[in-house]
Amino acid sequence: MYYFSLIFAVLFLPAALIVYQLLPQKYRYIALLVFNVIFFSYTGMRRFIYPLLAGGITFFAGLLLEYLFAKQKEKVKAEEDKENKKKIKKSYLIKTRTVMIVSIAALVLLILHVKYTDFFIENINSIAQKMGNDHRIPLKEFVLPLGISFYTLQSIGYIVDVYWRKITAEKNFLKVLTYITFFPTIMEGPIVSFLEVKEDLFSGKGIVFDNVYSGYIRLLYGCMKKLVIADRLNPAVKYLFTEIGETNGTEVACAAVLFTVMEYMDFSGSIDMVIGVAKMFGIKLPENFKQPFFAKNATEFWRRWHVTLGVWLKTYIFYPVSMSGLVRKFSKFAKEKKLNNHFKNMVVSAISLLPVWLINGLWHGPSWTYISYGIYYFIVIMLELIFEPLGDLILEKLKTTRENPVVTVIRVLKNWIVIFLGEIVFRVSNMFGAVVMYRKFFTEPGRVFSNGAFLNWGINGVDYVIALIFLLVVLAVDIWKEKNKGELLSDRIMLCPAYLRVAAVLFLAVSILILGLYGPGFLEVDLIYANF
Amino acid sequence: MENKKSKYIEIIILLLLLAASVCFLSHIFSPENLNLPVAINEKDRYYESIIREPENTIDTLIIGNSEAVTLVDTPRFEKETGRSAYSVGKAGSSVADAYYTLRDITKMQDIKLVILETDMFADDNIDYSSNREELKRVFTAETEHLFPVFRYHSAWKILAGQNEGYPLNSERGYEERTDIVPYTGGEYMLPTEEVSYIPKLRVFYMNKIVKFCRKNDIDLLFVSAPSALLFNTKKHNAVSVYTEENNIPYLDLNSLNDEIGIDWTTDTMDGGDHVNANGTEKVTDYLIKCIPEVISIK
Repeated sequence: MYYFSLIFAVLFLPAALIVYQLLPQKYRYIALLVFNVIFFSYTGMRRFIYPLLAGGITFFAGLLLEYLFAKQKEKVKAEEDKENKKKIKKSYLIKTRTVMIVSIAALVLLILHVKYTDFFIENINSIAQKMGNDHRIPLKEFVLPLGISFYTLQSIGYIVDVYWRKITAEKNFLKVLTYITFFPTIMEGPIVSFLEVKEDLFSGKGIVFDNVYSGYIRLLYGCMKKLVIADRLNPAVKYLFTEIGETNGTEVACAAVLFTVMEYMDFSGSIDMVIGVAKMFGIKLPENFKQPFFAKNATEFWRRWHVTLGVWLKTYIFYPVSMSGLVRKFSKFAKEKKLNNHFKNMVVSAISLLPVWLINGLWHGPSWTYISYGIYYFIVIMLELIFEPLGDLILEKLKTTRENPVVTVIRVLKNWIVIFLGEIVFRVSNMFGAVVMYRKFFTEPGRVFSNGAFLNWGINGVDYVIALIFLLVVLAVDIWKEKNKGELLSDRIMLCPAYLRVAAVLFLAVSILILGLYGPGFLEVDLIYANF
Repeated sequence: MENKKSKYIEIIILLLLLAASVCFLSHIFSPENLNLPVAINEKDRYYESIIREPENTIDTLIIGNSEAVTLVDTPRFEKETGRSAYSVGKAGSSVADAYYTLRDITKMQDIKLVILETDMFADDNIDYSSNREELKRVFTAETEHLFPVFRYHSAWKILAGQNEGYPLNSERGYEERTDIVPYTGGEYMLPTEEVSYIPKLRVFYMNKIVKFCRKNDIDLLFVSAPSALLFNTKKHNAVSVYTEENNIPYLDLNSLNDEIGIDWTTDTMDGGDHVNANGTEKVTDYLIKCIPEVISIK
C-alpha cells in the first residue's frame, strides 16, 4: 500500500486517525503500532519478523546499557579509592562498548543477510569464473523486507544515543517497536532519531483540526509531485536508461536531467506525504529536503538533499571517525612534521569522509553502481575542498566574492552538472552501462530537439508541457521556502484566507484526478526509495 | 469558538466542492457520455464496445478476466445456436469488477445466460490471494463504479488528440488470435484433495453475482477455460465446492481436454496461458453442444 493510493488516503488513514483519537491518551501509541502492523502486512506478514528482531535487539541493547550504567554508578559511588574508581569506570566502558558493538553488529548482520547476500555471492561467482572455476553458488533471492534500510539506521542511532547517554533507554518494548515501524516513515524515511519523535509519538496528543487539514494539503501536494510529474517522466527515463546503445551523448544528458527531476519529485513528493500524514497525528518529522537545487556545491547539496541520511552519517560515522585514534595520531604526526595546514586538513577530511561516502553508496543498495555513486561524491567533495583556496584566489583577483549573484548562479549551475553526472551512475543498471553512458556523454553529441527525437522516448509533447507546468509550481514553492527559511508552506497556508486554501486543495485534487498517472493502463510506479 | 466554527464551515464547503467536482467529472468522463469512436482503456475495450450495441440485442454474456476474452467465438456461437453472445472479459478483472460490469450491462441488455469464466474467482496467485489484496481490488472496483472518472480520466488525452485510444470491437467481443506458442509442461491436472483458498471478500462478491442472476432470472454457468499454465486441480476443487454449495452448473474444460480435443502444441497462443483461435474453436464447439445439456436456457 502506497501513501499515494486512494485506499490509503480515504480508508486506511481516516481509520487510523479515528482509532487513535478514540483511545485514551495513554494508549494512543498502541493504535499507531496496530496500524503499523496492518500497513506492514500488505508486504507479507512473515517478513514482520525482521522489524521484530531489529526491535528486540534495539530494545534489549538499550536496557542492558542502562543496567550497566546504573551498576557502574552504584559501584563507583561505593568505592572511595580514586584509582579503583577509574578501574571500575574503565571496566564498565569496555562492557558497555561491547554491548553497543555486538548489538550493532547483529543489526548489520541482519541487513547484510537479506540485502547484501546475493551481492557477495555474485561477486564471489564472478571472481571464481575469472579464475577458471565454473562452480556457481546459487543466489538466495531474498525479498527485501519493507523499510529495513531505514529502521536499521534508526535502531543503530538509538543504541549509540543510549551509549552516549543522549537518551535513556525506553523500558516499553511496544514503544520501541512503534518507533522503528512507524508506518509513515517505514517506507521512505525520513530517518528520525528517538529523541526527535519520542515526545510526539508517545504523548498521545489528540488530533487537531488544523494539523489534519494542513497534513492532507501536504499529502495532496506530494501526490501531485509523484503522480503528475515523476510518473509522467518515468517512460522516458526508463527508455533512455535501457536503450543505452541507441542513444547519443545529448540523449544521455537528457536522461541524467530527466531522472534527476523524476527522482526529486518522487522522493521529495513521498516525503511530503509522510510528513503530512505524521502531522495529522501531531507528530513533527524533520524535513528531508531543503531546496537542494539551490545548493552551490556538493557539500551544501548533501545538506539539503536527503537531509536526515546526511545527519545520520555525520553523527554516527563522520564525527566518531574524526575523533578516532587514527585521525588523532595523524594530527599529531602532522604537527610534529610541520606539514602544511591545508594538506593536513585534506588528509583528515579524506579519512573521515571516505567511510561516510562508502556507507552512503552501499546503503542505497547492493550494487557497484551505488558504491561508485558514493565514491563519486567523495571525490567531488574532496576536489571542492582541495581547490577551495584556489577558487578564493581567483575571486580575489576578479575583485568579487562568492556572494556575488553572477558567481552564485555560476556555482549553482556548476553544481547541477555535478548532480546530473552523479545521477547517471546512480540510475544505470550496471557499471558497463555507466561507462558507455559517460563515454557517449563526453564524445558523442547528437541531435535531440531539432529532429523531434525526444518525442520518441515514450512520452509526448503534452506530457512534457504538463510536467513543465507543474514543475514551475514546485519551483515557485521552493523559491518561497528558500526566501522564508524555516517556515513551512503547509503551516503558512493555514493562515491564508479560506478561499485560497479551498482553491489550493481543489486545484491539487482535480489535477491529480485528471492528470495523475493511475488506473487501468498504467502500471503503478514504485517509489524509488522504497526499494532501498 | 467563532474561529473553530468558521473552520468547520470551511471544511464542509470544501468537501462539498470536492464531491461535486468528482461527480461532475465522473459524469463528463464516463464512456457512455463521451461516446468516443474508440475505447479509452485497453482493458475495458469489450465493455466500452458492448455499451454501444443497440439495446436488448444480446442475451448471453461471457464475463471474467483475460481467460474469458479467448473463451468463445461469439459470432459462430450465435450462428450455431441463434443466441447472441458477447464476451466482456477484462484483463486482470476482479470479481467485484465483474459484478458491476454485469449489473451495468443488464441495464441495457436483456441477458438470459451468463457464462462466468472462473479464473478471476479461483486465482491463487500470491499477489491476489489474500483478503488484504482483495480489499484493495474491491475498493478500486467500488470507487471506479461510483466515480468513473477514476477509471476513465485518461480520456482527456484522446479528446486532446494526444492518444488514439483503442479500437472498439465489432465482433461481439471476439478476436481471432492465431499465434501459436506451444505448452510443453506436460499434465497439469494432477490428482490432489487440496483446495485453493479464496478470499472471503471475493466470495462475498461472487455471492452477489449469483444473487443478482437469480433475482433477474438469469441462468448462470461457471466455466474454467483451458489454461495449462494457470489452472490446476486445487483451483478446480475450490470452484467445485462453491458451485456445489450454490447449485450452479460447472464445466471445467481443463478436465475435459481430451473430450474437447485441446492440443497444447497447437491450441495456445502464449505457452499454455490462453487458448488461440484453434483452441477457441474447439471450446466453442464443445459449449454449443454441451450448454443445452447442463443448463435449461430460457
